[in-house]
Formats: sequence, structure tokens, C-alpha cells
Amino acid sequence: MDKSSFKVLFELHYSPLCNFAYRIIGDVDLAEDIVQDIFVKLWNEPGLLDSNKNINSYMYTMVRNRALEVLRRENIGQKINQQLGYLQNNISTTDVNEDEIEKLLLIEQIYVSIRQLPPKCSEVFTLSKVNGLTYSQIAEKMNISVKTVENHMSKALKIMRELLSKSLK
Amino acid sequence: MNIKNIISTYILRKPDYEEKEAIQNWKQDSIENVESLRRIMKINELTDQVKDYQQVNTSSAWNKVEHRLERHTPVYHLTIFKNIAAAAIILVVSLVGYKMMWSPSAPQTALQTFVASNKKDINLSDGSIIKLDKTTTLKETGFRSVQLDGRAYFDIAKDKSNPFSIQLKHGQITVLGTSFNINTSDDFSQIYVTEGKVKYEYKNQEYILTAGDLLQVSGGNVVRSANPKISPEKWIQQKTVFENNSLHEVLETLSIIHKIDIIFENNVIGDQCRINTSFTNENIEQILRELEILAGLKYTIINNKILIKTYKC
Repeated sequence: MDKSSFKVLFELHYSPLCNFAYRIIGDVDLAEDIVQDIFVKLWNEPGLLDSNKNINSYMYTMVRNRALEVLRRENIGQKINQQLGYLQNNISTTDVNEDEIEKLLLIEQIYVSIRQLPPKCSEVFTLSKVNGLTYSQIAEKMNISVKTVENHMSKALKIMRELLSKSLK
Repeated sequence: MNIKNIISTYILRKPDYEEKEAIQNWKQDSIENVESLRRIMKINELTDQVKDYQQVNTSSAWNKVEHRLERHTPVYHLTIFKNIAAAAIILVVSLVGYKMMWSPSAPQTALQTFVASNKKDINLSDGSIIKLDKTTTLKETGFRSVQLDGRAYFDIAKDKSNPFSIQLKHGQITVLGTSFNINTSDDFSQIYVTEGKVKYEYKNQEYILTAGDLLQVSGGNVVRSANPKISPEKWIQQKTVFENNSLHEVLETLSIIHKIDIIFENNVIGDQCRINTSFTNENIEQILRELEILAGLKYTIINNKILIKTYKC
């Protein structure tokens, strides 16, 4: 694998991997450090990138295992409690499977798509879908009419559909 | 109602009874539809997880990681990395195809194209300043990304997370420091760095250039030369000063400034001449006549190339 292909791999997976690690350790700076270390290791380990291994699965598994290791070593007491749910469900000696990776990549796409919406649309969409407010609560909060909220939502819907059309195929 | 519209309501809200019916019917049409619906439902479910999403800066992370990568492909270390100065100067010189790059009717887009009929200073939106030589075309291809035909001096605003890139006829330059000079065309390119650090990529190879490095690209070959005497100030003033330089250094410098190839005949060896002179507005013929007097230079000009036959010292 040459460097430009490696960069493509990095750009595609860096953010999903950071968020994957973040779910485990609950610290985004630490998560970024882990993911950067893994990418350096991936490149510097001779023959690894060109072997027949499933690189995606290998990357996500390495990040997960390193994050769990850091969590154990750092003994971040309170955080362990917070993350206990995740650990109970996900501690596993098996590799991260394709479904899980696909899910992480999809969350990234949705996140990126929401950010590509026009500012008002994005705000309305986020308040509705992510924060779970009703249209009238959003109207009040943003000091606009319910009708305008609806218009923003329908515009957001149209754009999201286009942006996500690749994933819907 | 359009089935796509109904499906997309899954992203926004719970479908009503009629919509549910329509989706159930559509689902039964094909196995692909079932799969599509499964993905859509997944998107819907995952949208809720977006609220915990952490935004990270991928491009600045890449810069950090790239720095730590061992090299797989051959890389030419032209100088030791100790000198990471604030500025870089590059000259890339062209020979043939010079007229082709002169395009007075370059297309006007949101990103600007600058064509200099005389020397011209350009202020880019990111704070970078670019001095264009006459008959130079500079085209913006994106934020901190340009394409260059001709010669220019770049004073690049510092922004570590957004490297500045310049596309040349031969390869691409990425600015790692902050300021430099370029000139390029179809057949022949020269890149000269007097300050700072830049990365040059050509044919899947990477070259890190720092102060004093001169790269010549011609016929697909990249050749390095050492420390010619060119200073950016002199270049801007179009004044070239030589103080105790060898004839080879003088000729190399002139070839860069006057965009002309200089070829030494095989039997020309030794470099004992020491030249002290300066040129401001002289053309290359006038300069060569002066060198003929100073160093007994014998030469001929063929097809915009200078063939050096002999000299006396």
C-alpha cells in the first residue's frame, strides 16, 4: 500500500475510530491518541498492510483492544462505572465484525450529512431528531413559527435523503 | 405518494398507518427492498447516537501521524531536517511551451484565475501574498490550493492544519514552511528553495526540500544540484549580483532566471573562474557577451538552449 492509499484509509476511518474508542474510554483526546498510535503501528509494521488480512476488522479490533487496555491501566474509576454498560456488552476476544464497522461508518455519514445542512435546517433537525423536541418546542426555542419549523424539516429531509442516498442503495 | 418520500419519513418521524401499509407492500416487491429498508431503519436508529458524536480534526491528525510514519518508498533527503525556517523560496523554470501557458482568456469562476501581463501582487483570502512574474498564470483550485504556469514568489500564511499546495506541470508542491518562489511549464521545471521547507511530489516519489536545494525536472528525470546563488530579493528586483561565484554557479543561476537551458560540452571541465558582476535589465545575449569578456566564454545558442563550448579560466 502506498502512502496516498494509506491516507485515504486514514481519512475514511479516523473519525469513526476515534468515536469508537471514545465510547469505550469517554475521553476524546485519549481516543485520538490511541487511534493515531494504531495508524502509525499499522504503517510501520512490515508487510501488514499488504497482507491478506482484513484491514478494517484489524484496525477496529486493535483500537478496541487498546482502548480497553488503556481503560484498565489508567483505572479511571468513575469512568469505568459510566462505561460499564458498554464493557459488559462488548468485551470480547473476537474481532470487531463487519456489521459493527458498517454501523460506525454510517453514524459518521449521518453526522457529516447533518453538518452539511444549511444552518437553520441543521439546528431544527438536530433539535428534533437528536434532542427529541417537538415542533412547537423548537418553534418556541428558535422564536419562529411551527410552519417555519415544518418547512425547515422538509428541506432538511430532502437534503438528507440526497446526502444519504449512497447508503440507501 | 412516492415511496421514497414515505421511506425517508423514517428518518424524521414515525410513519402513519397509510404510509406503513405502503411500505409493507413495497417491501414485498423484492429482496432488495427488504435490504434497503433494513438499512434505512438502521440509519433511523443510529441518528439517535449522533448526539454523543465527537468531532475530531482529521487533517490535523493526519499531519501528526504522517510525521511519525517510517518511509516505505524511496525518499531523497536533500538536506538534514534541522532547518525548519519560517519561509521557503522556490523557483521552477520553464523552457518550451512558454507561450502555451500564457492564457489571457482564462475561465473566471468563483475561484479566481490571475493572469499577469506585468509583474503583479496577489493577496489570497487566507492572507498569503503571491508575486507573479509577467506572463504567469495562477489559478485557484480550492482553499490554499493553486495551479501555476510561469513564475511566482509565494509568501504563504501559516496554517498548520491546512497545508498550501501548488500544482505544477511536473508534480506538486506542498508547503511545510511559509514562503517561496515558483515557475513551471511543459518541458522543463526547476525548483529552488532558499528558505524553509517544502515537499515536492512527482511520479510517486517524495522530496523534502530545504534551504539551498535546487531540483531540476526534465524528461521525467529529477536531478538535484547544490546551492546556486539566488536570493528572492534579487529575483524580485530582477537584479542578479555575483560575488566571487564560480562560472558554473553563474550559468546555473542565469539558466533559472532567464528560463533557458545551459548545456556544457563534454570536454569542458574545471571551474576555476571567479565572477564578480551584477546584471539588472540585460537580456541573456548581453550577459553572455559580458561573460565572454570576463571569462573567455565561447558558446552558441541553438533552439533557446545555450551550448557552452569552452572558457579560459
